[in-house]
Amino acid sequence: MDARARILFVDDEIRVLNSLRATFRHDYEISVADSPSKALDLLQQNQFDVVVSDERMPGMRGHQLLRQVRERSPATVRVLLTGYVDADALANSINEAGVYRYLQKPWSISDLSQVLQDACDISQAAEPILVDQIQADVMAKREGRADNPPNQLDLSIMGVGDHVRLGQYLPGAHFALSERSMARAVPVVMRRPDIGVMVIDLEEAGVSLSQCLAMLHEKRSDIVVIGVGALKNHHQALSLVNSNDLQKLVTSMLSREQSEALLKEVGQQHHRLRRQRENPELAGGVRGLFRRWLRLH
Amino acid sequence: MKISHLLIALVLLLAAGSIFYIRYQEQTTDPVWRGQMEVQFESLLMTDARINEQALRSRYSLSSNYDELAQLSQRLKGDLERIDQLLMARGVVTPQLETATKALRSSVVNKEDVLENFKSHNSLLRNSIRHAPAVGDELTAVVAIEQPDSAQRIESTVNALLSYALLGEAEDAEQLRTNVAQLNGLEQQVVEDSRSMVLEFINHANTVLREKQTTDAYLSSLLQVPTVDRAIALKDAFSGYIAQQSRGQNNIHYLIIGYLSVLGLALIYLGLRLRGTYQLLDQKVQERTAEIENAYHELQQSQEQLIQSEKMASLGQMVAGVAHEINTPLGYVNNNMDVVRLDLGELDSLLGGLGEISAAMSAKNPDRQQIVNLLREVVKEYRRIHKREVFDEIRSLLKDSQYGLGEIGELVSNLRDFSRVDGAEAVRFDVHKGLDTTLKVCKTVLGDMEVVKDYSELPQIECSPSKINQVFMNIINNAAQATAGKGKLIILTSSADSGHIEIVFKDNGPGIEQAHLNKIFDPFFTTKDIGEGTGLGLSIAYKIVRSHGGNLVVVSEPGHGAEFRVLLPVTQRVGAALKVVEG
Repeated sequence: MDARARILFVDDEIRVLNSLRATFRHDYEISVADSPSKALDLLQQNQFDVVVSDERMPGMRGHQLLRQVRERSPATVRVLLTGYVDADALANSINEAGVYRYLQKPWSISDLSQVLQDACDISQAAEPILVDQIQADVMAKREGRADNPPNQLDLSIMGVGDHVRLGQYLPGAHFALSERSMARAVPVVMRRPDIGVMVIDLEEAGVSLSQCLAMLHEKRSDIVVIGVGALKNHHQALSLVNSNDLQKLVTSMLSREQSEALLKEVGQQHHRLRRQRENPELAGGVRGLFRRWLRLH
Repeated sequence: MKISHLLIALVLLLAAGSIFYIRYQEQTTDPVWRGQMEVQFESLLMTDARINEQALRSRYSLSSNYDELAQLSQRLKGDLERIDQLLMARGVVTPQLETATKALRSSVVNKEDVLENFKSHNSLLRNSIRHAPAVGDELTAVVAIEQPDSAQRIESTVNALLSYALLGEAEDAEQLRTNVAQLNGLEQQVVEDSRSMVLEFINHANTVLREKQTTDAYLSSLLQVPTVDRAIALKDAFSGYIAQQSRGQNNIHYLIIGYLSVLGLALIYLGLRLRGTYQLLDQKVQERTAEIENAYHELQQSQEQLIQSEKMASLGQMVAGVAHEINTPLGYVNNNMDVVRLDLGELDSLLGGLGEISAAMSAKNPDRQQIVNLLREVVKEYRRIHKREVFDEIRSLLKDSQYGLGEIGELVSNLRDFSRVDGAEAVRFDVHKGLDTTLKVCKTVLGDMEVVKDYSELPQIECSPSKINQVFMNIINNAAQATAGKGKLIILTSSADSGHIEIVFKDNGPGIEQAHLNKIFDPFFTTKDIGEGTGLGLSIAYKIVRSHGGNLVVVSEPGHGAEFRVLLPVTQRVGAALKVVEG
């Protein structure tokens, strides 16, 4: 394996690629692609630690490209670098692409450097784990424990906020517990190992949301968090996405099919996280950032 | 409702009945009628009195015949009949009146009978009284010479007869009776010729003796017949009846007053209720009016808000697009500057080395060896830098940056062109430039849409450029949304005729349903979900085009895309105000 981390930049503006390559070529192995299709070609042949993509490109959106990256190479850390924040792109970046960071143009070199460095660390740390995981999945499948779909009974959902409103966003979701605020919900969750998913009304979450979430992740890293509701502003949305505290973001009311598909996916995610948590090798030693990012898988 | 209707009907019936009843009551107490009755009573009493007077007169020979009496008798009956008729005419039947009338009628009949008797007897009496003195005188003359006593007796008899007949003294009757007795047989003593005369005289005297009492009895009977009393009784009964009636009428008056009071109260009640209802109604109407006004106001407000939000939505879309377009070059230009700065830092060592060489060379005794060493360092440094391609990098990054700044500059100038602040005055405008500018601004909305431009030679047109750009943008937005940013948009321009140009926007989206075609330019008409579109974009475009004296039509077949045709005049009418309604 190459000593230097490998980074792929994707943007339809060649000058952006030139600029980025000039900036980072001394520290990383840089590849560039000026279209999503070229990026996919490169991905076919190479393993990258990090993929940084623009969102608006002809032919394919950035989050769609990153979703494919995620599917093909889960250990590759995904970053969006986009000129404009829109709510759909944000939600998609979390829900579909599971991005590590959502960055805006114009960017600052120091911030971008830091993000790339962290991303490379994570990627390199995650790779063996994720490979193990995939192998474990394959083994499980082979031994007939295939899929092992999470039993609906031991996957309880907790609602934070008005559960009627939450139910409108996620039709069909059954809330085993419901609390008005995050500050109340966290201690309750600690005592309820059966809770696997938390659905949080972002409009009512309050200021301490990120602190509460950080605390929650420290103690219950297996819990999958779904943020629900229209976002107040892009700043809040961006900080939520970039804290990697949310695993899913629902900004509009879903249809029943969409809701059920989402809940099923979330159930599998929780299942994986629980397995990770039960694995003592993973429990310690891994940096917080990395652990959080792993949750996006 | 039904009960109140019944009540009203009942009240009306009662009122009508009361009116008839009162009318009837008024008939019976009609003063004219009463006056007629009074006259008849008076007449009856008068007639009665005159009958009595005439009877007395005729008894004492003051009137010579019975014509007047007969007339009066008839009149008395007539009067009675008249009274009866008057009572009957009004249907006045009470027991008292009936009894009194019967009594009066019987006395009238009685009086008539008595009067007839009186008349016949009185005739005999009067006849004797009238003829007796003449016969007596003649007889006296006959017997005066031969029988002076008899003559004297005859004279005395005449006196007694007249005195008795007129005064009715008992002495005179005695004298007369005595004289008649003495005169009996005198006919035998007188000459043959005077014999009948004596018998006649005696006969007269006897008649007076016989008839005077009978006649007087009848006369007294006549005078005593109680017609007056009975008439007065009838009159009293009538008066009693009238009094009763007027009492009744008084009662009716009270009744009427009561009735009127009740009616008044009912009217007041109804008035109050009506007032209450009216006030309630008024209040309701006011409330409704206020509600409607509120609703209207709210509607107006929300319409304004919608127009505003449509503007903001377009603006937001534009800003999103523009921000993306600007942020990209801004991003790399900014980054390039940092990289160039770092690269220049590396050049510092090279320049420093050169500086040292320069210093060494300009020394009084230049140390060749030192210079050579320094030169070697510089060359080594240069080679290192060259290997890192720093110079090429700087050059190319600066070139890119310049390009990026140019991009930004162009975008800003496009934006300025697009939303050029222009007044109501029309200015000359290059439609193609407007289309290009708008397409650039709409780049984000268009996404991956393929745009084919087929421009033909066009004159500049007089218009409000920013408004026309808005028309283009709204149509392009609509096309982009219809094709979900993945279709094809063809823009054709042509001179329709000498005075007009035409711009056609053709997309290959799903087209517009027949039912929606008529409504597509209606404000707030949208096929998008609630909250996704205001439905104002095309209606605003339509208004703008119309205000320019042009026309905007849509041609579409479902499944075959839509075609928007904008027809605009080349020149505007002089002084035409292009102040387009802001929505």
